[in-house]
Amino acid sequence: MVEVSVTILAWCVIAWIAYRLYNRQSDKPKIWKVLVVMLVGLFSFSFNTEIFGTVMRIPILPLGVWVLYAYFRKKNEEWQTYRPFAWFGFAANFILLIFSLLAVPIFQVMYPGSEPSTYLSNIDDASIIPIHPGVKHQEMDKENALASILDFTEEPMHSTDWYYGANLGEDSTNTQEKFPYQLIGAIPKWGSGLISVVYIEEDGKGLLISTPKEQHYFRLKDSLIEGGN
Amino acid sequence: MSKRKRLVLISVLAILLVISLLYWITSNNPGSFPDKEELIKEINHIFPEANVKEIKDTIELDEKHVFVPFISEENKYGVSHWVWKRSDWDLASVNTGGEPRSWRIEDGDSSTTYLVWNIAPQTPIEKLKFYLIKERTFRITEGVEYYDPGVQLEEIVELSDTSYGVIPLPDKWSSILASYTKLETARQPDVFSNSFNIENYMYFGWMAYDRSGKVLPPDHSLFGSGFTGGEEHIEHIRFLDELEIETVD
Repeated sequence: MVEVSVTILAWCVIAWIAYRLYNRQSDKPKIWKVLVVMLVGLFSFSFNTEIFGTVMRIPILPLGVWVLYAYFRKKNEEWQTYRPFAWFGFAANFILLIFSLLAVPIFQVMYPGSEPSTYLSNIDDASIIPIHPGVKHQEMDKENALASILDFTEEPMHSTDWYYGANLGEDSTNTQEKFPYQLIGAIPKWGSGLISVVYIEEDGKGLLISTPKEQHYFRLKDSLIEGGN
Repeated sequence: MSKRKRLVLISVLAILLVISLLYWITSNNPGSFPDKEELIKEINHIFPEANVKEIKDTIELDEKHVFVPFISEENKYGVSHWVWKRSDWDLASVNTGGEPRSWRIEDGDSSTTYLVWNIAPQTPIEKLKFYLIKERTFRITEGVEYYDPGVQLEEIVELSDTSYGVIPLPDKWSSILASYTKLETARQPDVFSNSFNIENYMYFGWMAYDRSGKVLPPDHSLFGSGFTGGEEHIEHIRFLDELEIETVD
């Protein structure tokens, strides 16, 4: 959502600058030709790099501008008219890049990754499913859940302890999963488009949230399980 | 263009339209399913080893997918899977062993998965236990910890008088499978490397129990030979050993 609106905004800025450039020209070329030149100019050799956990396209070589230059080689006068638009097409890459860089902090302010409420914003259709033997079916305390997840602390992960702590016996005959429940059907904050899998500790007070990029471990003051307090 | 030419062109187009419309209707609306005689003939023609004697039943999973358990001349309990494809009923898979298999009839939608089997009544199996399993894992890369909880869900099926059976995947199973599919798909670096396969990440398993509640050791009479066409998602289910199952004291 943030990404889409920022991209639209970036294109508005590009259109506005192009409009100003066009008005400043003394002899007006055909508008569709200007658009084609800009689109070709946009074409560039670029490399992708990860900045703040997001893949960004950094343009390096103005391939489109070279193509246009080759095309207009023998038509010097026309080239004078179209050249600013060709280069502006290449420059538009940077405008898009700047805007996507701006989107990162905006996204982080709107959808903070270190708050459970970002991942669990609507729980009307949510339910708690036991995923390991040894725990019973439990109902979610829907009335208080959304309030409960506001009172939390983010805790460090202890993956090794959790992994080896699961095996209580010599073999698999006595195994206890640290997170024996999964929360299914919770909807993340509107417009975030976040994808996550949410696990719950046996007492209903621990949340392990896996996202495509990272994992968070939260402890709540109150349990999400009905009668868990 | 003269009037006559235009008339010819329009009528050609109209005929083409009618033909493609007819084709579209016939290929999308499954024709009547072959009767038992025809089924036996076709299975034995395509896979003579099956040597079908009797078709036990035809179970429609949806209007384009039919599960057909059978018995061979050698009294082996086998299975066949039929799919409506390109205006014909295709034999997608046949096997002389009827041990449990999973069949996902719509690609990419785990809620359309069925567990199917056909087990000889002579085998002393009282009930089947199906499992959905994800191994517990952890890793630490550059100081960042990651922990993936173990999942083990169980579904018990009492075998009835009929040797064969079909159950849809329990809702909980398919919602859990869907949640991982979504997460792991988002983890793929781009849309082109869409190689994620949920089967590598989670798997189905099964065990058989006899009347006294004892786990049955692998019984080779259950397994057979056969073939499966490339496009259908018909998978073997892992035959589990008791030690592979996690229990709680």
